[in-house]
Amino acid sequence: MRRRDVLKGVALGAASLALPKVVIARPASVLRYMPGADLAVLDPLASSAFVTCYHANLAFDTLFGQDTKFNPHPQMVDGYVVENDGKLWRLVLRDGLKFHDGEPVLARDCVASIKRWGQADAFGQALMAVTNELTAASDKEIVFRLSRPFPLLPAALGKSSTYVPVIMPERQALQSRSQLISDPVGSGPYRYIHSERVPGQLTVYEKFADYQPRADGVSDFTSGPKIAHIDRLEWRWIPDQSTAASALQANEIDWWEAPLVDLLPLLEADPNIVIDTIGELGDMGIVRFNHLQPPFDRPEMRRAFAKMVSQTEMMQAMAGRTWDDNVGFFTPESPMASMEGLPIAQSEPNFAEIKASLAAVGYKGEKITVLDPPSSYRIHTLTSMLVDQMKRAGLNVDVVALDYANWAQRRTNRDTPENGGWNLVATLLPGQELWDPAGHIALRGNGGDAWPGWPTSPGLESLRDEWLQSPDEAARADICRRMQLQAIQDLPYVPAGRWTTPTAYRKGLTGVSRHIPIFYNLKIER
Amino acid sequence: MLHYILRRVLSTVPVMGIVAFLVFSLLYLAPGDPASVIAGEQASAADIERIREQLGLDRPYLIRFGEWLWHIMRGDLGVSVFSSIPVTQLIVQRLEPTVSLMVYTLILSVLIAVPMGVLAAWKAGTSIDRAVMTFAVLGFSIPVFVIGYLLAYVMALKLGWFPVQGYAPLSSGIGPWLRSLTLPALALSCVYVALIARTTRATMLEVLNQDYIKTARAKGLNQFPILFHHALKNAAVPVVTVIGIGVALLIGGAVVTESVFVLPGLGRLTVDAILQRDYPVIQGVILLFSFLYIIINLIVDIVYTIVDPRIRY
Repeated sequence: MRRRDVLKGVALGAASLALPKVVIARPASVLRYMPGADLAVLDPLASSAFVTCYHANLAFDTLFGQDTKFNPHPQMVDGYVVENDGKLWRLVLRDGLKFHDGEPVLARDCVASIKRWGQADAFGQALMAVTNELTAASDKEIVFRLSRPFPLLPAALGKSSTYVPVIMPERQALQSRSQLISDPVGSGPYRYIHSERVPGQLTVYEKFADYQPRADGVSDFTSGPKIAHIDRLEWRWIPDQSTAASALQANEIDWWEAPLVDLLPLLEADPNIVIDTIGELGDMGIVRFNHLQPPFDRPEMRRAFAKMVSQTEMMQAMAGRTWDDNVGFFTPESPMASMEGLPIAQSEPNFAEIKASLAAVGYKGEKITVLDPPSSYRIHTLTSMLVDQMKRAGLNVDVVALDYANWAQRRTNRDTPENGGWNLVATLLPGQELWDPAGHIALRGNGGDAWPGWPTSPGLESLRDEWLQSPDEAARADICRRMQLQAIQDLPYVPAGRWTTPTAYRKGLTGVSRHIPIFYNLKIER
Repeated sequence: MLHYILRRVLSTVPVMGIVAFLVFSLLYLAPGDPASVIAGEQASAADIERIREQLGLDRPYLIRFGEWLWHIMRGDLGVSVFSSIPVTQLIVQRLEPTVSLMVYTLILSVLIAVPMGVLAAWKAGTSIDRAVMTFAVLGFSIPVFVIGYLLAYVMALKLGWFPVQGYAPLSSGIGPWLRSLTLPALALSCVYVALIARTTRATMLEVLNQDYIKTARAKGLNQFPILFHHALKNAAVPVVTVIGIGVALLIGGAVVTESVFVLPGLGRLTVDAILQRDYPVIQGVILLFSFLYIIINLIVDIVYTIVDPRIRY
């Protein structure tokens, strides 16, 4: 190559910098959204990550939807009839439903999807346990034949929290659950674009032109007409919080789901940014015991320990702003919540008394292993406060710091702490999941099948069964009151308070849903 | 020379074999696995166990290693356990931003650092020399992410000259591509500039005291040809070595820089894969980095023969 050629190339390159920008045809409207976590798993029934739940609600549709108060309403279903004293349900699909690959949604797709969901979800498992037969009577009609009445069937098939009972094509629904679905096909108002996915960076959805919204009802959360006003949604994952704050300020993203509380003053100072608390139900702190290992295999030890978990202290450290203490086992706004048996611990516990009561129930200074994932700041903050309280109560604490993947794996180890197990973890669950016993995984007492911690409580399980069969809300609320009293006796976990995390978006975004980010019915003006 | 290059290329095979063994074994021994990350916070132990079985994580070490090695030998790096995308495809998808960033940083660093080092050596002991050395100390001392935040705040957020984050591919035009890479490259080049400038200064000082330079000066040659033609060429071998070694620094720095500036490169891919325990991706990327490092060392050795004809293989 001659020097002159090189110089010519450099000159051409430099000249191109001065060229006018090429105008690229862009869709009419684009929303750039940064979720609270990277969307790592696209299979809606494989991961309980919140972000996967948002993806499920966006790209898929459900037979029933929920309003803001979590009441079910028909969504894909046109109507339904209940016969044989509540033991026969006939659900009829509405016209014009199509999957994103252009195929019509048929009853057999729904049957296969419900069966798949029924293996993954606790509410689904309860429904399947009373289902003798689930069939497609025709292309439009789904038939449930139950062994006993299940009045909450629409609520189960309309839940919007993990795991969402999404409808997918039969061929995907019949796939083994062991095999992750990496290119999901839904029938919701937005279509997932597999070819544009950059794992760990970008997920793209486009308005599904063939989607037929309901003609009746009012748009409210996941119920009523789902109208896609925005043409294209770009979920951009920014791992660094400072960069995310700058990107929002510089108009490089439109919506940041969960900014750090520490960064809120910076964002509030920007007149183009709105700080809004959409997740009004917030997150609930949980101090979970390992019921299989001493010393927390004994209920009297758990009850003595629970007296030292000051929700006030936990929440002051956790949230700084909007939080509630003195909360029980259900989300405070739920009709299922009550003050029965509360408070479990005082705001300012008397640690000398607690130390004495721990000794009285046989605590002799045994080492208590607490797992702590410092990289997960919310769990780490709760854990740090818990450890501080334990030390003040004179407990011998062994804090094991782990990265999240290791924490998540070790939490499933049922062995002794010396063999890779644990005694205590602090964690959190969204308030939406703790709304009632249906999806409340932390309140199960089904031993080895329960969420890690594995509590056994026949009392809690029997009350849950009673709740699932209960015909009206007043009766259900009374059962939950009794469940709370039972939980205070058995202590599958200790409630550690509730806090809300604001979201931040640029002015011009309207129709932002409550509870979780829902992208239909959302409008953007630039 | 050809024989030497062939021998060196062949010698990469056992080295890559050792790297493969070490990477696989370290990941096998490391606690945590992707099943618990895939399953998420609310999963039961049974859910996690089901995913572990599906991923084959419950099988013995030797069987897993043997299978993986067999696939590697056939050029198959496996499939990401999260996205189900082939690792090769993920690497190809992420190669452009990282290579762009590294090349841009390398060019920027050499263009800034070599003249700085030469200048400092020429003006040794003066305020110019002290200024260059102060910059070098700062370049070494300030972490890349701090420089990145400062640059983003001033040049992107306040002045609006560059985007805060993101990457514009080369296919979108040279202008947008350079705009998206300038801040990350500046941040990443600081430590590299410091390293090359210090080395250049030290070797230049040594060369400038040699008799042939004194003779050139006595003959009345200008400073410019003395510094850049006679001295720099003879000081180049250590500088080239440092540039070669520095590529490893760049790879490490790219991990941080790509996270701060949200570049979809190999650094981000590696960090995400490590946090998620996405074994096939971690193994694939580390093998690639090892291979690149071996090749860069080979290129450095070949460059020696160009800058110093006395070196022969």
